[in-house]
Amino acid sequence: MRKGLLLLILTTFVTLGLIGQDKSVPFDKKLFKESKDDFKIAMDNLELGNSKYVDMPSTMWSLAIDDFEKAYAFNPKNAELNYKLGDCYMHSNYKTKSIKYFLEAFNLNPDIQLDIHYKLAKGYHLASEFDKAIKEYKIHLSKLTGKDSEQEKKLVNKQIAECETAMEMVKNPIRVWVDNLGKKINSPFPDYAAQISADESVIIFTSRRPSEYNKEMQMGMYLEDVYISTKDEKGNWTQATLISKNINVTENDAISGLSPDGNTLFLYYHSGNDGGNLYQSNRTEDGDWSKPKDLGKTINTSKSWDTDASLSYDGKRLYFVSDKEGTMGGRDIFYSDWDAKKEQWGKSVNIGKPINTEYDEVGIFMHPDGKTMYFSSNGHKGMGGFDIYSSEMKEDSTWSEPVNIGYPVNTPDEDVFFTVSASGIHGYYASFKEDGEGEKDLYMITFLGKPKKPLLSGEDNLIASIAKPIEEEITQAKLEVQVKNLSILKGKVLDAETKKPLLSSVEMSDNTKGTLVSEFKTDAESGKFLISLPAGKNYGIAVKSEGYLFHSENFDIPADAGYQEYEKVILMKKVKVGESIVLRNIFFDLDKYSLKDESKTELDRLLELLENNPSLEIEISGHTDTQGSAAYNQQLSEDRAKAVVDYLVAFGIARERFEFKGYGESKPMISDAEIYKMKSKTQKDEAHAMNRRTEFKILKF
Amino acid sequence: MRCKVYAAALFSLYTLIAHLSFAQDDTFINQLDSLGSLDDSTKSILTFNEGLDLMNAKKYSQAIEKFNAAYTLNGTLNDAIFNRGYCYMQLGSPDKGVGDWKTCIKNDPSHEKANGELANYYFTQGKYSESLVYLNTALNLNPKESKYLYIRGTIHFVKNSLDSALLDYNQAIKLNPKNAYAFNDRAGVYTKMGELDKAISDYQSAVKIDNKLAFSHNNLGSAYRKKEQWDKAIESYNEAIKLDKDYAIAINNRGMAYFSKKDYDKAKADFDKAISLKADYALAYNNRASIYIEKEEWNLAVKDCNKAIEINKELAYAYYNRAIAKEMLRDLDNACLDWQKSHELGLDAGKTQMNTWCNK
Repeated sequence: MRKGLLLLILTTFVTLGLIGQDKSVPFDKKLFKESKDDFKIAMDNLELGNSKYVDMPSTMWSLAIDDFEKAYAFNPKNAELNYKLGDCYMHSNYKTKSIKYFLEAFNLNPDIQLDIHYKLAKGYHLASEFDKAIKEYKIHLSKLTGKDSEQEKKLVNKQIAECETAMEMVKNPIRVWVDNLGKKINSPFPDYAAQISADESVIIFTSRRPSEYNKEMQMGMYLEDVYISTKDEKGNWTQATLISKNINVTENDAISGLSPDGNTLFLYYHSGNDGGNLYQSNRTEDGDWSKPKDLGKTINTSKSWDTDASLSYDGKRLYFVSDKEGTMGGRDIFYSDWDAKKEQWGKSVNIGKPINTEYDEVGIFMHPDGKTMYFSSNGHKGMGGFDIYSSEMKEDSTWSEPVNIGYPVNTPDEDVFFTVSASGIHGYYASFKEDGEGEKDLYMITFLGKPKKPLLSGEDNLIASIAKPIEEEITQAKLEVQVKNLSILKGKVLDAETKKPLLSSVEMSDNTKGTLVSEFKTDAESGKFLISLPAGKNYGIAVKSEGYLFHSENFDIPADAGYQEYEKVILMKKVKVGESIVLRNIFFDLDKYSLKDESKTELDRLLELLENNPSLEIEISGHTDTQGSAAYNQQLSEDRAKAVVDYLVAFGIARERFEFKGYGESKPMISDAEIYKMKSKTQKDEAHAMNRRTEFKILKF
Repeated sequence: MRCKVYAAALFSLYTLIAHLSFAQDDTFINQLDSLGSLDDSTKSILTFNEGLDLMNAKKYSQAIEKFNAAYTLNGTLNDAIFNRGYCYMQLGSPDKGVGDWKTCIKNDPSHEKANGELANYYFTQGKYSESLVYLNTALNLNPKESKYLYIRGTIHFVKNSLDSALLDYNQAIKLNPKNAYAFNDRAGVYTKMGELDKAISDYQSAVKIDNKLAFSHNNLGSAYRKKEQWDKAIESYNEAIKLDKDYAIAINNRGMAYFSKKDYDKAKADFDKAISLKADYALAYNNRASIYIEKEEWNLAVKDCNKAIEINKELAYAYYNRAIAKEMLRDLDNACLDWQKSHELGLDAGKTQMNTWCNK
């Protein structure tokens, strides 16, 4: 079979050679009588190269380059060899080197292959020589005839349009810094598909470097493994290591996605005859990763190729890539919502237009801001190959028209697997660059935005009788980079007494709607958790742990708030007499004691605690700040404490289990003296807000 | 000089004597005196007038002697004290000058000119409250004096009471439509109010009244620049520079207009020139740094910002610009420190950059 195909290819070349103006020098021993030995070596290399060229898929043709180059050194004037070398380079990291060989092949024999102009065009396209590419594409187009060529004409016209788009994009590049992530991450082998936690402290990626699981190459490459690295105290990446024996296998294992908190991993495994499926692994209590679990039939199907996955910030929706039934063409982005009752992912839905096209959409990444999607596509207006696009979810939950994120992040080549930090300032992607560590490396992009305008200063003699000039500001600076409007809460949950990390659940509520947005687990080993809080909501955060009082925090994040990071160490108190906690998510109308609707989630939490612990008797206390008269504050705090008790009693808790007290301004968390020392009004306002609170204390248990 | 009006009453006698064809010098008065033909009153007047002539000839020390003599002869000759005060001022003895004017007012609280001059003196010293006391008295005595209204308007302007300033400038211009200073300063008020069309109109009036006012041409240029009418701005700056080739402020401003036109070579030439004229011109160093930023010559930008900051540690723009250059030199930590400093010095843009780029 192999020999037959080789014969067919050789025959084609020979036949074409006869038709055109062939200046090609054939590998004919009669022509190389004086160098018989070298001829034999060259023929051996040619045969070796041919066998790889014929036997292997085009993605592996680069393996034939060395052999063909040796034959080429002996006879550079063979059109067929030039053509094949061009092909091999086209499928290597050095794609633009193909131009030289395709050109020579064409010069030696203009009829070498019907697609020679197309291949030349493709080479120029990848080398960003767009004018030449368009010219060659058009020549190729002119040679296409007949009904069968309609599909190809469509493709070539698309590529001409891509060249035109590329010319515009190159004229208007976005400003970025591109930094290699360094030797601790990258290797001389292909490293790609980086996934990054929201706070950029964890990176997980796929690498084809040799490992204990992949000791030998297959088809010229090691198989894929998943690696992890974390940042040290100085912010530098530590040496990447295999992620876990639960994840790394002797077959291909590749990362597909990572949740914003870095605790849920999506993986791609391909075994047997399935097209490749998605799996999930979670951080375990001992800091390892659980055995990957198939995401289920609603996501994976036996015939489909199910690859990249990304979780929404609240963990309730999974976006993934598949070519399953229902695609609009090729591979599309689908989503599935978590069915909490059935504890499984629901039916998968094609995300539809304007995201998906008749071509391929891959490399889905949902930003932790909850509304921005990044993905790669070769179907939208781009520079060629896959380009990276962003789209935002609108108020009505539909998606905005995708926007090409621009050159030089996008190139005429394949640009996929792109993730963006929570702040929106950094992007991570894989690229082959000659000054890298070898093969594809991982790079961090820093988006610089539009050039920052310098500020100039001039002066005038506005007052004629005074020589003293008055300064003025001339140029106002503008925001150049769209910083993401979200906050990151990085927490650590510890036992208040032992200071040991606690495995806890963290509930995130939307206080305005009174709904539970999401629930997460802390890392059992470190007690750490990370939550994305998209702007524009009042969040209640409740941390719960068995045998402990719950802890509540409130984050009211305005819609126009920029990117912020909060760090909190949460000390959990055991349920015992005398312990008290602050109920941060109980809200009252201004200067009144009527409870606001936003308090419902917290009150219900308290209600649940009392219902589950019938012996619990508590004191509810109200506290105010020192603004206003002491007498007024005293009465207000008492009324507010009573309002909380009344609510709980109304829901069936016996009044005898409560005491309520108003402490007015007598027990501030931050004293007036401390507040006085604070420099900014914001700090002072926050301190006063801390003092306005509702507490409960255990009286009997 | 300022009391010639006062002396006019004696004009007849003086003319009569003059017609006797005697030389008008010491000898003349002494001769008359020796003839016993002059009483003390007449003598004081003649001496006073001699003082005036000397004062007009800028012979202030000699004039002071005459005014002393005149006052000794006639203790009610308050203008001799007033004029002596003026001479002291010209000789650089403001304490004595102010003392004389205050004595003058003590002798005669309705002495408009003493009140007016004191008001002007305190105004030039930046003592606006003291100035206003005398200015209001002067204005009560002579509400039609355009100059007093102009000064009061300017005090309001300096104190940023723009509406009050505008009222006084309006009145000053109404009383004296040729008061170019009032037009210039009213334009300044309009500029601050953001009413650039009115400002341009007033600056045009100022230079029409007195085409030699280089600062009005400069200010007109700046008003055009704010309206982003770069060519007109440059034209006006050229007029200012034509009148004063060493006018560093106008040269720096013209550089800014060229900068806005993206004509960086001409802009740089102007900033270079401004620096050569005024070696401690921090603003021009900062502006030249801006050129280097546009040309992505980051190290040169840092160097000029350093110089600007060395000259003026409070120049927020220089910190801001240095941060831009440092960021591009990938020294983000120090860039953030500079943006923070610019914010501390009152530049909101510094905070914007910190929020965007720092602690990420």
